[in-house]
Amino acid sequence: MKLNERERKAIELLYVEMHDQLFRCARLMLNSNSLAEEAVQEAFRIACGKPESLLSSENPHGWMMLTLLNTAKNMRRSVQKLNDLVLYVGEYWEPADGAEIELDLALQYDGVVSKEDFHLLYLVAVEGYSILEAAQQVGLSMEACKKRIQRAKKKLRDKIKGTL
Amino acid sequence: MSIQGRKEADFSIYDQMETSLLEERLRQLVDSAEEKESDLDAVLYITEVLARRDRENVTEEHMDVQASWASFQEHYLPLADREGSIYDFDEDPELDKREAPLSFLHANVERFHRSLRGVTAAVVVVVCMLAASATASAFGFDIWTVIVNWTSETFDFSVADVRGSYGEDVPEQLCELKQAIIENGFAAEHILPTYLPKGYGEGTVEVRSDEHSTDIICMLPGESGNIILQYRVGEEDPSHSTFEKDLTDPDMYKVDGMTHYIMTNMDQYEAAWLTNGVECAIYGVETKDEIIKMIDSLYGG
Repeated sequence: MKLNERERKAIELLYVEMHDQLFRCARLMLNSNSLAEEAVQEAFRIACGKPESLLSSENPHGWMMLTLLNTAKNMRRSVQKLNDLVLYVGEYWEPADGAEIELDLALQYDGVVSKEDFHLLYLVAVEGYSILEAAQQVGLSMEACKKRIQRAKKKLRDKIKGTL
Repeated sequence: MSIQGRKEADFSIYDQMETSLLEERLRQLVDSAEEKESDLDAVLYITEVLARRDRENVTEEHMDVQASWASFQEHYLPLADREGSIYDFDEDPELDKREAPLSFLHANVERFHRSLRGVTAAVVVVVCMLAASATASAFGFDIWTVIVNWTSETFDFSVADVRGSYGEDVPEQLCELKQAIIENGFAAEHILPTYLPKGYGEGTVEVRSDEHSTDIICMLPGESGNIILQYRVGEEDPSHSTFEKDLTDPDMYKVDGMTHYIMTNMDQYEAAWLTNGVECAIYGVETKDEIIKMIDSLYGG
C-alpha cells in the first residue's frame, strides 16, 4: 500500500515533530543509539503500513508513542532470545577477533549454519548491531539480512533440539 | 503541549527535575503507559522535556532529524507493506499460496540439501510430486501434469520426461556441464545457456543420483558470489525442486512460447523453467538483465 501525498506529508510532519522524543525514549529502553534509531524508524514503518489508523486517531502522538514502546520492547525481547541462543551454542564458536568469528566446523560443515549467516546473527545478537547496520556491513538489503538471521536461528534451534 | 487528553494533567513538575530523575521516572512509566492514559501522557511530556534538553545541550543523543527522515525513506518506508516487525525472527506460519493455471496434484515432500560448500545461492528443497492428467502437450509429455506453485517464500514445479537435443556453442566454463548432461541422458533443448555474465570461472560439476531422480549441479565461481546451474530429471517417482525466494511474486518471462520464472532471493536473481522433462534452474545472478540474457541465449538470442 503506497501512501498518498496527504498521508506522506502528515507522517513526515509527525516524524520531524516527534523523532527526538521517541528516540530519547527508545534510547533509554535499548541503551544504544543505533537500536533506538531503528526502533523509531520501525515504529514509523508500522505507521506507514496503517496510515488511516494513525491519522484518524484522536491522539496521534500517543499512537506513535505506544507503537514505539511496543516496538522497543519487541526488539529487546527478540535480541535477548537471539543472544540466549548464540550463547547456548557457545562451545561451537569463538568470539570475533577483528572481522572473523571462529565457527566450529561441526556447525558450519554439517550444513547447520553458514559462516555468513552466523556472522549476521552474531552481529545482532551479541554485538548489538541494528538490522540496518548489520545489513550495511555485509552489503545486503534489510530484508535479506533478516531472512538470513531467521534462517540461522531456525537451524541452530533445530540443531539444539536434535543433537547438541 | 500538543496532544489531547492532557488538558487536565499538570506535568510541569517535570520541567525542573534533574535529567537522571526524569529518566528513572520514564523507566517506571513505560510499562504502564499502555494501560493508563495518564501514564502515556506523562511519558510524552517527559520525553519532550528530555529531547528539548538534548537539543539545547547538543548532546551525543541528538540525531539530525532530516538525515533520519532521509534514511527512513530509503531503508524502512519500502518495507511498509510487510506484516509484523523486522525483529520477528520466528518462522512465518502464514503462506500465501498461489497456483499457476495448470492442473494439479500433490505428493510427498522430501528435503534436499545442496552439496556444494560455500555457495551463496538458495537452499533447494526437493518436493516429490506425481502428475496425472494431461496438459503436458506444451511440454512434449504423454501424461504429465505440471504444477507451478509459489508461496510467499518458495517456488516450485514438478518434472516430467526427457526428450530433445541440447544447445551448441556453450561457453568454455560450461563444457564439463555439457558433458555431464550428455552422459546422464539429459537430452533436451534449451537447457544450456550460451551467455554467461563476465567474471565467472570454470564450473565445478557434481552429479547426484538416487532411485527418485538425477541431479546435475554446476557451480561457477565468481568474485562477488557464485552462479549455480541445476538440472533435475525424475525417475519413476519424479521429484521437483522448491526454491527459496523473497516475498515478491515471480516474473513470468516468455521466450519462444516457453515460460521462465524469474524471482529474487536475498538480493540475487534466480530463474526456473521446465523443458521436455528437465527441471532447470539458475541462481546467484546479480542483475535481472544478466539473467534475462542467459535465458535469451537458450534460444539463440
